[in-house]
Amino acid sequence: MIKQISKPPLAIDDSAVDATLVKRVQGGDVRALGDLYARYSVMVQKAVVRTMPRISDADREDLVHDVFLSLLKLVNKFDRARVFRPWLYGVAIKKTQNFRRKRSVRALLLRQRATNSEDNPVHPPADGQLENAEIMEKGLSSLPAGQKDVLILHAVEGFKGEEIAEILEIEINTVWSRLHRARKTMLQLLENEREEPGGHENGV
Amino acid sequence: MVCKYLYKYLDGRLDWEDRRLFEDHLAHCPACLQQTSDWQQILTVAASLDNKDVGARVAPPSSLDVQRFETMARKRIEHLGRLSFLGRPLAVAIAAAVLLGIAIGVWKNEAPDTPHVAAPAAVSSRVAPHKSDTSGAPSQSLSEAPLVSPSATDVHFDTKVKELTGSETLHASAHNGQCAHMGPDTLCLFPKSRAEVMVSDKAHVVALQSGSAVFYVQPNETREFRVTTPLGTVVVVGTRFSVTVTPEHMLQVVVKKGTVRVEGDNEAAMVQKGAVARIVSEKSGIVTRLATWDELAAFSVLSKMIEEVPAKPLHLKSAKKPVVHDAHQLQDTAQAQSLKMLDTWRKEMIAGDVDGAIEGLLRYLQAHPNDVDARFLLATCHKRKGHPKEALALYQQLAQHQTLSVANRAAYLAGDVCIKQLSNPQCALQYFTPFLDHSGRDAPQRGEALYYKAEALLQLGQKKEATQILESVVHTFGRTGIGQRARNRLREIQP
Repeated sequence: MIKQISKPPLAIDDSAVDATLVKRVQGGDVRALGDLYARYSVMVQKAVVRTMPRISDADREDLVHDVFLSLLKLVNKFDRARVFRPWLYGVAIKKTQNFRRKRSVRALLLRQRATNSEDNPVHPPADGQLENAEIMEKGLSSLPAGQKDVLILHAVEGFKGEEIAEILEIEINTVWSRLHRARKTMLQLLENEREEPGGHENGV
Repeated sequence: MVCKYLYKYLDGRLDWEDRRLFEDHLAHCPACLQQTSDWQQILTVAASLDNKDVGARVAPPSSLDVQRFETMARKRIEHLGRLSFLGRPLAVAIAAAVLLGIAIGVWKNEAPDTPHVAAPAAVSSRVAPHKSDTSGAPSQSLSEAPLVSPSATDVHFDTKVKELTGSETLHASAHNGQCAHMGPDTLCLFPKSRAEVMVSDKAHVVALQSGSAVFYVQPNETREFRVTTPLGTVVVVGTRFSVTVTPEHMLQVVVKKGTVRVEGDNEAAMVQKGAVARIVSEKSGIVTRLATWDELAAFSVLSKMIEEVPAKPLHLKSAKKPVVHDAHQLQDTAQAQSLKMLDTWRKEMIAGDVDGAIEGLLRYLQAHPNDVDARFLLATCHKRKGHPKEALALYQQLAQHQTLSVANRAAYLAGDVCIKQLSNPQCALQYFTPFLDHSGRDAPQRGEALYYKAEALLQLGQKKEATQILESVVHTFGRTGIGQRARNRLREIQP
């Protein structure tokens, strides 16, 4: 391929902002930590809910605070050559997993199950949407958990492959192959769907 | 050939140059385009599914939440016994962007009785409230139009550029803007503007008292860059943004890239890219919303004006990369901005806000009537909205385009609309036939075009010709999806 196009405009990305804020947090600046909280609270909340869908709202709030407060200590271990956002996402996942484990151990000891069923996400029927969308939703729900995780991190959170590998602690090639498989399944599904107007059900 | 890069492109694994090349390829490869749009559709559904399950349960923190959290963090620090933490100055190491552009405007600056903005530790002297010299006629004229508007293109700047070293007051005359260097940073005041500037090793502080200004700020981790206005302070955290003041809304900050921290009397807000923050009055809070196209477009006008400012040789103390202010880069930026705008609307459309995307595109097309990509996107929006006739009209125009690849793509898409949405076989034939005549034998969407041409012929009752075409599709595209479909269709129509 010809590579003679001029360089892209210098990217002013958020990671530079993060690096600055992290440096300030390392220096003990509470407002910088507040800024990080304002920037990433939603992402951390989502990471928590994705990891533990049955968590109650109160637990979730505590856990999110806990994640950010733990940064006061953890930022000193953070290598500033790395990108902050995926690192934080990984911290959130680990904290949630710890929380879930402790919760289940306690539940076992108390011989009662955690009663969070009221927090189960409700799936309202998707009315007024394209048929395609319904079929895709079904397809997405039936993807293996590993593929779905990668797809969500890639599509919704916009993480790069290397970052996803870091978050999920898997090989980079595993990331690409999972994404590849998910994509193949879904594109095939759409393709089959498109054939139907021709009057055929191929039953693939 | 280039099609093999599709998955890497969708993964986001191509570098910038290859991506540009691939996007050029997309313009005349309907197959890749189809898969790309399918994939975007899948991602949208994935995002909406995730939003239904997860997004609906989370909420962004209010400024009160952030304050509460900061209180908790302070307590935690005390608990950790790390009080030494708090000794450090707050405002160290703020600006970290590669290139910053700021435009600031102040409207009708009445002298406040009480200090408004909590000055940070690093700023030693408070900006004295200044009664604007120009609060009469000029502010009247300012009240008629926002300061940062495309009409600002005819603003001229003095060619003589001042060099500021300590504290100084800067005036711009009624006709000409005035530019000044503050070390590596540059500041340009618009006509009828006035600012007090303080330059030190620790901070560059600009107290804008009336009028408006444009800034270029170079990255610096140890020096703060702060713009104070009577109603609030804008702290540069590393970004590109504009600030203006309109009659209805006293202070307005538009963030083009990155994030800034806007500080009002009682609250502070982090304003992210693509967002607008407003402080309406001294007592009101900070209200944020999404920026409109006009607000973002106004910024590119400012970028152009900065280009006219004589570039200053850079004083490089550290080994950091210099920021190159050349015309080429700015042009690239403008192009990247258009691409980004298109991308925004594409995402808007995919996310379901088709009306918003159409509105934005129509405005954009008024300024850039020859942008082919925008017109294709507009047509897609109309298709999504269930207005096939509008889409068809756009494709009809594009099919007359002098570039063959554009005309071919438009012809194919027009035929596609005719057969699938308008169910008009004659119209479909009218477009598929020239597409098939002009596109190469190995054109990616050829199989589909043939298939649908046959479909149109079938609807017109020309079964014999349709059968021939379908047989040729089976013959040429046997193992692919379209070949399979042609085979199935043949089985259906043949006894």
